[in-house]
Amino acid sequence: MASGETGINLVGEVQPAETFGDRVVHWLDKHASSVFVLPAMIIVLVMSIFPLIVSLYLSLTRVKIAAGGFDITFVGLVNFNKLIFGREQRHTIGKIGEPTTFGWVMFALVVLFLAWGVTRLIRKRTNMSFGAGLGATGLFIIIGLGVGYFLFNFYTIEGEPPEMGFLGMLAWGSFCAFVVMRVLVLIFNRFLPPTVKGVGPILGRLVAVTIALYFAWITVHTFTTLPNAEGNPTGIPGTIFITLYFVIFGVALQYLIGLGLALLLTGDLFGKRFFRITFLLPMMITPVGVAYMFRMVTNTSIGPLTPIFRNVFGVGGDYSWAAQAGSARVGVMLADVWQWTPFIFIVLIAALEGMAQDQREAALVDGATSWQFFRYITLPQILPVSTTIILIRLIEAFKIIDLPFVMTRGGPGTATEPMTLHAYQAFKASDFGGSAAVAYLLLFLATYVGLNFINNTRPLAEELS
Amino acid sequence: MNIKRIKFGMLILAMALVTAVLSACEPQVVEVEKEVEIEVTRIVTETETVVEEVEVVKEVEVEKVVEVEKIVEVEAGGEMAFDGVEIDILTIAGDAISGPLRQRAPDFEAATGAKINIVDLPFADLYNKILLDAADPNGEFDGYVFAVTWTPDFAAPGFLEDLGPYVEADEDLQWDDITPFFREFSSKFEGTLYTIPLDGDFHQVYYRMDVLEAAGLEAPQTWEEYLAIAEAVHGQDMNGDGEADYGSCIGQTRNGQAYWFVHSIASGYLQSQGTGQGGFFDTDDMTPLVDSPGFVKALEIYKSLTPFGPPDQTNIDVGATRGLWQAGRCALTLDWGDIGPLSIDTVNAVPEVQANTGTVVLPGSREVMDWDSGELVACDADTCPYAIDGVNHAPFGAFGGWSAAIRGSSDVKDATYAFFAYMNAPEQSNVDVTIGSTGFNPYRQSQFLNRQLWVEAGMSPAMATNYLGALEAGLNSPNFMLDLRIPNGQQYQQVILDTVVSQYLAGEFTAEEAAAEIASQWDELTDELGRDEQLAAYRKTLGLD
Repeated sequence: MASGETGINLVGEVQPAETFGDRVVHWLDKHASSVFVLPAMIIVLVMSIFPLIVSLYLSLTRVKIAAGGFDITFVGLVNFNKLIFGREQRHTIGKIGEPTTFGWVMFALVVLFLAWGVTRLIRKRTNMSFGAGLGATGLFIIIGLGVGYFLFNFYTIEGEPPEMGFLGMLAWGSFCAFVVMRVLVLIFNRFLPPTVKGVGPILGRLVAVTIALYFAWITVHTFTTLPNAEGNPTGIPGTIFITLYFVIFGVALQYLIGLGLALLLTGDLFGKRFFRITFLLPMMITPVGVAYMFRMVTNTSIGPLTPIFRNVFGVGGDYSWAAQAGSARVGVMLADVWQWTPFIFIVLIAALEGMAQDQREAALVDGATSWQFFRYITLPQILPVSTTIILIRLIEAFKIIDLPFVMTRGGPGTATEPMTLHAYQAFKASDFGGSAAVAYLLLFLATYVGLNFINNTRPLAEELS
Repeated sequence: MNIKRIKFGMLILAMALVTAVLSACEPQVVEVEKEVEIEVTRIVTETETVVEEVEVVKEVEVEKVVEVEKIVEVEAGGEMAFDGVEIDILTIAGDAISGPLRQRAPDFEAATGAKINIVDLPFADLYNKILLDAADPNGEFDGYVFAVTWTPDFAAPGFLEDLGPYVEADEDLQWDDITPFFREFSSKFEGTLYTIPLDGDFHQVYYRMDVLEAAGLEAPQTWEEYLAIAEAVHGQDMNGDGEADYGSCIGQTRNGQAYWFVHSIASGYLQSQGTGQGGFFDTDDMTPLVDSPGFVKALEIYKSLTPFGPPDQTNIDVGATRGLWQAGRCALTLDWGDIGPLSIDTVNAVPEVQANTGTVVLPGSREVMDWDSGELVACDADTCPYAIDGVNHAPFGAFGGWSAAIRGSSDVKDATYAFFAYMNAPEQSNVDVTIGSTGFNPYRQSQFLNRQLWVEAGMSPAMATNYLGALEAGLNSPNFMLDLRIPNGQQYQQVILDTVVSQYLAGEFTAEEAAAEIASQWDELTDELGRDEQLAAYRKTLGLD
C-alpha cells in the first residue's frame, strides 16, 4: 500500500502508532476483493442456497394448513423412508419381480465393469495392498449398512421397522454417511492430515459404485422381469428408473442423431441453410405443444398418420401407443428426442465449423479413410463441447414433466411417470413434505449422474485426444 | 484521503448489512411453495380438456308434460342492498360452472348494486389455492365454488362460515325444495351447514335406445349385464358413418375421473344396508373395504370393459368420452347428469343421439358383500333390504357437485351469501340445469318434477321422463352411496386409488393384488394421519355419531 508519505520509513525509523481509522482502511484494502464480492455472495445465498435449505427442511416435515398459516411438524426422515422403504416404495423404486436371464446377464456385465473400474482406481490412486483394500471395503460396507439401518429404521415417527433391501440400505446409508463426511471435511479441512484427505475421493467412488450397483439391481428386478401367468411382467419400474430411462436413453439418442445431422450438414450441401433452420424449429415450440402434437401423431385411429399406421404397419384403429407401458415410454422419449436433438445439432455444428483446418487438410493429403478422419481428427476436437452439451441435456432431461403429463398423464399405470410428476402428484394431494422429499431425491439423482458423468468423461476425453 | 477511504469502506459495509437484513426478512416457506405452484399452473392450464358446448337454440313444439305451479319470484337481497360492495369469488376455469356464474352476475349486480368479480383456476390447482386463501385471515376471496368433497379440509380448521343462520332466515331460498341428500349430507359437515349446492352430481348409466332395441337387449340392471351388452354391440356402426363404433365408453385415464368410475361399479357390491353403511371403510375400525371379493369383482368388470371401448380408452378422460357420446360412437357410457343436456345439443350431438339417449339408474349387483364372512352372498331380503327386482343398487354420489361456501373471515358475507342464494334459487337454477354448457345438474325436487323446462330445452317428453326419472330414482335411493369426505380424502382417492387402478389396467397387478395394495396403502395413510381421528371423521360423514 505504501505510497509517497511512508516511504521514508524504510531506513528503520519508528512508525507513528496507527489510528483506528488507518487500521480499518488497511483491513479493507487487504480484503477489498472479498468485500466487493460480498453482496453478490449474499444474493447467491439468499436466492439459491437459502431456498434449498428451506425445502430440505420441508422434506423433513409434515405440513398441514391450519388457521392463519402452516402447521409444520418435524418428522425426521419419515418422508424419505416412506419413498424408499415404505408405502411409496412401489411408486419410487418399483415392484420387485423375477428377473429374466437377459436381465441377469446385463447385471453381471455391470458388476464386472464396476469391479474393473474400482480395482483400476485403487491401483492407480493408492498403493494399498490387496488385504488392506479388502479391509477398507469391508469397513465401508459395515459403516454404510450401519448408517442405513440407523437412519431408516430408528428415525421414523412410529419407530416401526420398514421392509428393507440389503443393497438399498447399503447404497442409501453409505451415501448419507458420505455426504456427512464431505461436509465435515469441508469444515475441518485445514486440520486433517493429507492421508485422510486422500481417502476422500476413493470413498466417493466407492459410494458411487454402490449406488450404481443398486440402480442396476433395481433395473434388473423391475424392468427386465419374467411375465406372470397372465403374460404381464412381474416387476414394475418405479419413478427413479423411469427418470433415468428418459435421461439416459433419451440423451444418448439425441446426441447420436444430433451428431449425425451435424456431420451431414457441415459439408457443402445444396439447401444447407434451409435444412439448418428447419431442424431448429422443434426447439422453439413450447413443450406442451410438442406433447399435444405427439399425442395426435401417435394416435392410430384418428391421428394424421392413421393411413401410415394402417397400411404400412397394419395397426389401424385398434392399437394405441399409450395403452402399453413399453410403447408409451418410447413415445414420450421420441417426443423429447424430437424436440431437443436440434439443440445438440446446433452446438455441434458450431464446433465442427470451428475445427482447425490444417489438421483436416493434412489428413486429406495423407489419404485418411472417413472413419479414421472422424476418429482421429473430428472426435477429439468436438469432445469437450460434446461433454458440455450432454451434461446440460442430462440436467435438463431430469426435469421432464410436460411431455408425459400431456401425452399419457404418467400412465398406463406409472409407466411414464418421472420423479417430477411424482412430486407433483404428492403436492397436489397437499403432501408438501412428501413432495419436497421426492424433489430432493431427484436433486440427489441429478447431482449423482452429473458428477459421475464429469468425473468419468474427463479422463476419457484426455485419453482420446 | 483517508477519510474518503473510510467513507467508502463504510458504505460498502452498510450495503452488505442492508442486503443481509433484507434477505433475512423474506417470507420463507410460502416462497418455496409459490415457485412450485407457478410451474404447475403453467402445465395444467394448457392441458385442461374443455368440451365445447353451444347453447341450445332449437325451437321445439312445446308439449306440456307436467303442470307445475309458478315458482315465486325471488328477490335477491332487496333494493340496492349492497351498493358498491365488491365480491370476489374463486372457482374452476372453463365454460361450465364459472360460465353461468359470470352470466348471472350482471343481473344480480343491477338488482343489488354489488360488483361481482369471478376468478377461475384449473381444477388441479383449485384445491390448494382455496386452502391457502381460506387459511389466510386477509384472504383475497369472499366466496368459493368448489367440489363438495373438499368441505372437511376447509371446514374442520374453521375456515368457512356457518351458513345455517343465513338459510334459516331466507324463506325465498325454498331450502326444503332441495333433495334430502344435498340438503342433509352433501352441504353439511359435522352437522353444520357450510355450503349451498349449485350442482347435483352423481353417476348414472346412459344407453342408446335404438342400438339396444335393434339388438333385442334391455337397459342394464347389473354390471354383468352392462358388460354383456357392451360386448354384444361392440363394433356396430351406431352413427351411420360406416365405421365400427364402441360398446362402452368410460374414460379410464390416470389423473382423470377413473377413481370415481371404479367405485360406481363397486358400490352395488360393497354397500347394501343403506347410506349409513358406507362404501369405503369399516365403521368400527377403518379397515378399508376395497380388499374384498366385491371390489375385486368390480375391478375385473372395469378392466373387461377396456376392449369394448375406444382403443385409447386408458388414456382419455370424461371430456373425451362425452365428445364420443355426442358423436354417436358409444352404445353405453357411465357419467354424471351432464349427458342429458349434452345429448340434446343440436350443434354437437348427432341426430341418433338426440333422439335415442336413454338413462338408467346406476347398475348394481345380485351378489353383495357380507362383511361378517368377507364373502359375496346372493341377494335376499336380509342381505339386500333395498333391492329392486333382486338387484342391489347403490347409486354413487361421485364428486357430489359444485357448491358455494363463504370464507369465515370475509367482510362481505351477507352480499356473498345473497349472490349464492340468487344462483341457487329455483328461478335461476331450474333454467341453468337444463343447459348442458353450465355444467350444473339437477338437485332440487322442482327440477325433477318440472319436465316442461326440459322439453322447452329440446328434450323429447319421453326422454325427459326417462332421464329425470332415473336421476330422481338414484337420488332418492335409501342405499345411496356417499363419496369419501374425510380429511386428506384426495390422497386416498386421487393419489393411491387412482394410481393403483391405473397400474392394474396396465397389467402391473392382478385384481387381487391391486385390491390388497390399495388397502395396505390406505391403512398406512390412515395410521399416518391418525386412525381415531380419521374414523371419527368418516363416521360423522355417514351421520353415525
